[in-house]
Amino acid sequence: MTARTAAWFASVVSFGFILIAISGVGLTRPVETASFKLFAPLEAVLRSVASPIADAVTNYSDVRALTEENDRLRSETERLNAEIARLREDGTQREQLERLLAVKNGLADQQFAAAKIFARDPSNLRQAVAIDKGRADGMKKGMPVLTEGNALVGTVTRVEDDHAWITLVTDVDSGVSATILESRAQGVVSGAYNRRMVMDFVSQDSAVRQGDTVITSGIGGSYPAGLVIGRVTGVRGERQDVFRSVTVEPLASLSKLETVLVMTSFVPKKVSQP
Amino acid sequence: MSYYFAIPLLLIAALSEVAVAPMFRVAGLQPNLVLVLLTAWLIARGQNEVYWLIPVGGFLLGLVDGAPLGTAIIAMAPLALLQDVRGSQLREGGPALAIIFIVIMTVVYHVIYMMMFTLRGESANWIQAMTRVVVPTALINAVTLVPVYWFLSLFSHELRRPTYA
Repeated sequence: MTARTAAWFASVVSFGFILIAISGVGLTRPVETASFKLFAPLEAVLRSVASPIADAVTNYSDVRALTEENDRLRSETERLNAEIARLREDGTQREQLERLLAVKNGLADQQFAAAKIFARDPSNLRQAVAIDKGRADGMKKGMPVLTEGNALVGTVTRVEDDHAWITLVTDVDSGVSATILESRAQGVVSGAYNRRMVMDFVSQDSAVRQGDTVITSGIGGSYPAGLVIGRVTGVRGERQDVFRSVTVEPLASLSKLETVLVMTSFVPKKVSQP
Repeated sequence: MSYYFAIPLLLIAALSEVAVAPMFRVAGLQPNLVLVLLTAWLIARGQNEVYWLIPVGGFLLGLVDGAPLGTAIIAMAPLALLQDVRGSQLREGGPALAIIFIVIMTVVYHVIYMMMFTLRGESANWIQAMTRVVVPTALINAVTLVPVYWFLSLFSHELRRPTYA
């Protein structure tokens, strides 16, 4: 390494660390807010140009995917029909519907703010999206974010004056206390690098099946109880394991979301040590 | 090709990285457009311009991405060190060298990001990140780099002309 390069490298890295330090205490917020206002129209133009191309590419690949999906859904329908018959027989379906109704009624008391997603974190290591509502619109850290169909999307993790960042439930840093609706088995749902989720710490003796619904348990106070997280796609764990590991697929396609609902009435609780 | 051209190009790359590239994700992954552009620039046009463009590109990306401002600058800074590996002669390195550089830089870039996440107390599974994110992204970046390098090479003939001293 030449002396010139070494000096340059030291200066640039130092500059980077200084920026991280001053942004940590909020000193760069005016610059970030100004750049957001300045770049937002440019971003919108780029998105409007790229959107039709992306749609065309997606539609082309969707034709093949739809054919496969169709076949899969046919066999899935058969399986579900058998499942419904069985549920009717043992009365579980009625209980499930009652529980879902209770969840829905619980959400009716909450207040929401609709927000539009305008950017995604470009780092492939993180799953985060930016919404067009910020501190000025009442956004606060820790507020849960849902799809329009009331499935959990993630949590508000960073709030700026006019926009906010949401960490998705599929992010590796996300952890949600969860319950399986059908069996009431409890665990913690966390994200993985393959954009799926894993529910850990599920008791070995709990009955968990593919297709079961995973909802928030409310334990820990970070989320209200009863928000739908996703569906069980697989169960792993040998008899000798203490816990089972359950793979969960998000109910909504998080990569295609355009609008979300922020639960503004919910304030996360800070639970103290017992 | 002057900085008047480079800086708007970096701005478009940074904005596209957050607004456009997510629409074209392959297996949930997208190219690091600013990193790809700077790597192609380094090989096509040499180190001197990149000295300035790395902090500018990192700063612009930091303004629009979700990580703390300054992270992208640190993550991209090692790119200039790679130039010393091939020597300081200002001649074309060729697309093969550009691909080798982007693969190395993709790994370095993500490792630095993960170190930053770890320092901030966020969880990071290094082995999974390497196999599921970093290696596939290096491949995506390498594919993206080819047309970007070709485009930059068209405007860099004067820099690649051999000198006979």
